[in-house]
Amino acid sequence: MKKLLASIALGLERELGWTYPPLVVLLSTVPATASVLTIVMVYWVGASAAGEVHTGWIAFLIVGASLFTHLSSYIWSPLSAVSEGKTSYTYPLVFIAHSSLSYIAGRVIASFIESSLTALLALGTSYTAINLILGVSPPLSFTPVNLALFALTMVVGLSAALGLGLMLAAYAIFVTRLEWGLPVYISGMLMIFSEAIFPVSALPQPLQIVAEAMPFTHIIRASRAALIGPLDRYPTEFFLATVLGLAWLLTGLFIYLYAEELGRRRGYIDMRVA
Amino acid sequence: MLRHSVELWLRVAFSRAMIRVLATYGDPLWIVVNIGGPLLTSIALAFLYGFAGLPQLTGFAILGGGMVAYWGNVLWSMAAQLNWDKRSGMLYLYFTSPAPLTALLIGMSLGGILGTLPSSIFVLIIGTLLFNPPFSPPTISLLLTFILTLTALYGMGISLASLYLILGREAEEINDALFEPVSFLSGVYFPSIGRGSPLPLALQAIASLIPLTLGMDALRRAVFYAESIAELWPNLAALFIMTLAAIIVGVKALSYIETIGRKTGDILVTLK
Repeated sequence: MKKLLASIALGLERELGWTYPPLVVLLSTVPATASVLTIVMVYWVGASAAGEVHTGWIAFLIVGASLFTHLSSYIWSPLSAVSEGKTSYTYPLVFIAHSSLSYIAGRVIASFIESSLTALLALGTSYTAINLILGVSPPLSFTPVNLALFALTMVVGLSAALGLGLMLAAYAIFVTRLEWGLPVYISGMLMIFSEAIFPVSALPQPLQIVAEAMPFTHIIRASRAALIGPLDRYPTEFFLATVLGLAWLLTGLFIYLYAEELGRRRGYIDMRVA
Repeated sequence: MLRHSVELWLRVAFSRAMIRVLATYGDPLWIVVNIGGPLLTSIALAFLYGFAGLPQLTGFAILGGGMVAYWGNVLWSMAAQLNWDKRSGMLYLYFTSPAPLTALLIGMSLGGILGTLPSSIFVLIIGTLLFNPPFSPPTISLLLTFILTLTALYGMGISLASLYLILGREAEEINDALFEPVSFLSGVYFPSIGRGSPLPLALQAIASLIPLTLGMDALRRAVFYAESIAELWPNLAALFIMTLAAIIVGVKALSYIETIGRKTGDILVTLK
């Protein structure tokens, strides 16, 4: 636990310590908000031209896009921890100290804390900006109960994101250049397959099965149930998000530990990223 | 003397461009990696246009995916480049060599444009195959709009390069913070100015100060509404003026930074 806490502190220092922390939060919130606004405007332009604008769908997009930017920003952190660590020779030292897993987990949690704050702010600012720009009030409910359920879903989402992050960290152990290439693809796939910006039913039939098997789809659905409703959908989606998230976490753990062992035997641990 | 200067300028620009071109075309993995973000984003947004009820507009998302690669390249390979060169110690070689700064910057831009071309083309081809959006046939006005959009965009990159040099080591963070807001205001994936824009007039006026906004607006009108030069000329004239202004500002700023740097020694410090 001490190692984990030290790693969280290190991660927070890395995320927030390069300049004034409020500036970091602002610099993260502005692009996240812009990303949400772009998605809403695309819907607005398409739906206006078709004459079928529904404020319910705008609420759907605000929640989905905010959560997508949140998830896609912190699933990078394990890969970044390994690749940056290899460049700076931190990672081999961490590895020798037998705490590589807690180091990675700590970095993910630190990134999760920073990203959660950004996501919540992006949710609020994009809601306000849409109200000002488009003159509509998306039907979102920000009562303490709704927000508590939303926060609970984000915490459950941590297990799935950590699982995926560990798989990416395993990949980073062996990659010596262009290590950011795969996460870009995975982040893009998440946008398509996690119901972040359109319902799974808009995908061709075989792809819908892939989307339903993703924990992120259920995390986003549970979040929508919490903030938009109906609340009776929340328990089912929350359960599916938890079960699938744990399955991804266990898979990620297995893959990472195996990769670390293989990396040690083959000497990839201290191979620098080009 | 003049001939020698012109020859030197061309050789420097060509050499700097070739470094970029060879780096990209000599490594197909680089192209594969660069396609991912724009392609998958434009596919997702094309699905959203379809879901919103107007599949004919999927072309907006595909065109945006093709052009956003250039905006990314301007930020990461133009604006931040001199800052990285400073950190690696290359900038001091630029300043002490007889190579003209304008030639280096223009060469860097040309190399960036040619290096980004495959990513842009792949996104357009794959997006078109998947969604079959209704594009108008290519015309001279489209070609002119495309060229002027890129020159204005890379001109902005030259100006930003000098600005980043002053800002110090936070180039990556600034790029991260700038990419999405500028993409939003520029209407890379939806019309942010003019016909069909959902933004209020004040915001449209601010957005019009960004070359990418005027370029995307003109490109959309040329590609989807087959508008000719007679209709697009205000955008094209503004892009031309923006190109000249950005290059002049960028080069002047760099010369100023160089002069100050030579006096104080600040600019040539290699950062760890």
